Amino acid sequence: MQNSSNYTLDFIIPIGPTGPTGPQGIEGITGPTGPASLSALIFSDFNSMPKQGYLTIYKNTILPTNSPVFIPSSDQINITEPGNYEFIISGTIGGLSANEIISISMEVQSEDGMKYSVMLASIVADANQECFAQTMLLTFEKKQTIKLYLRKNDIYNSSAETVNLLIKKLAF
Amino acid sequence: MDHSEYILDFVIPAGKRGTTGANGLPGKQGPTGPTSQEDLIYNQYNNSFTTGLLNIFKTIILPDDSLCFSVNNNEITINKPGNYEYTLCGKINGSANLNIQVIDENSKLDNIASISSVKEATLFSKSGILKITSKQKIRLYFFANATNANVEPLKFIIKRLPF
Repeated sequence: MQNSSNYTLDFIIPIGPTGPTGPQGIEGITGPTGPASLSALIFSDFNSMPKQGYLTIYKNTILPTNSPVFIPSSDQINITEPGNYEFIISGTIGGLSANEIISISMEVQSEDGMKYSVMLASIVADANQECFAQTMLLTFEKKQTIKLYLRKNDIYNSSAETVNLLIKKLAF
Repeated sequence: MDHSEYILDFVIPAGKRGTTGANGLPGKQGPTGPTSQEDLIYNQYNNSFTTGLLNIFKTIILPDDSLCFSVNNNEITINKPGNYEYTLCGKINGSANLNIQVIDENSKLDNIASISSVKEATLFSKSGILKITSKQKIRLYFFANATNANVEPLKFIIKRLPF
């Protein structure tokens, strides 16, 4: 640019090239732990039951100990989450009389009131004692209540003994 | 240069190279780990007509390199504390009892489950949970209460739980 006596020198000084790429960032955080095939379980020991009616629970083991999935009470187990569950039930019916008719079943009741029974053992006695065991897989879409019911004629001295129920919530 | 024109001739160097950039962002989170394995041991026992410990005739431990379990003739040793699920099943003939015995490091013995038979043939299956806090031995003890009482080959599986 020019006026009568002064000259202005106007030019651009280019900036330097871009610096090198910075070093690699730090490693990402560890991924989550892989799934286990089990989410939670409850193992219940039932009291001996010499009369017709619902079996009462003597002792529960819940794992992990803080699991909210299972809430037991005196004669039932509340399952609080939908999912797939494995049931393993075993026990003995002792003190049977000849030709006595006796059965034990598992009652499953949904939170909306729907109820059904699963027969665990139905016996016409030909011996003093019978063992039973069942394994099954049930899928629940709602909360459920589980009870065990002994059906017998109370004139007999038979009883359900050493009944155990193991319920496992599967992780798939 | 002549008297009316001036040539300005110089080199303007580019600026110095910039400093190294800042560290990049942390990498993405890694993938979810694989499904956890639950070590297990599966034993088959010999049949027996006599009172005493039942002998193991076949053992499968999974995975092969599991350190959870070791076994000798008639005892399973659980080497790692934790929670375990077991299932014992089989057939007892005649009047007899079968106990699942646990022996701790102080040689204290405990019968954790018992199956009794009072008739010709008792088919049974028994499951339960073991809470192991130190090394424990597990064995099966058969009581024959009558002359011909016997136990047919039993199957016993113990699985380490993931919690």
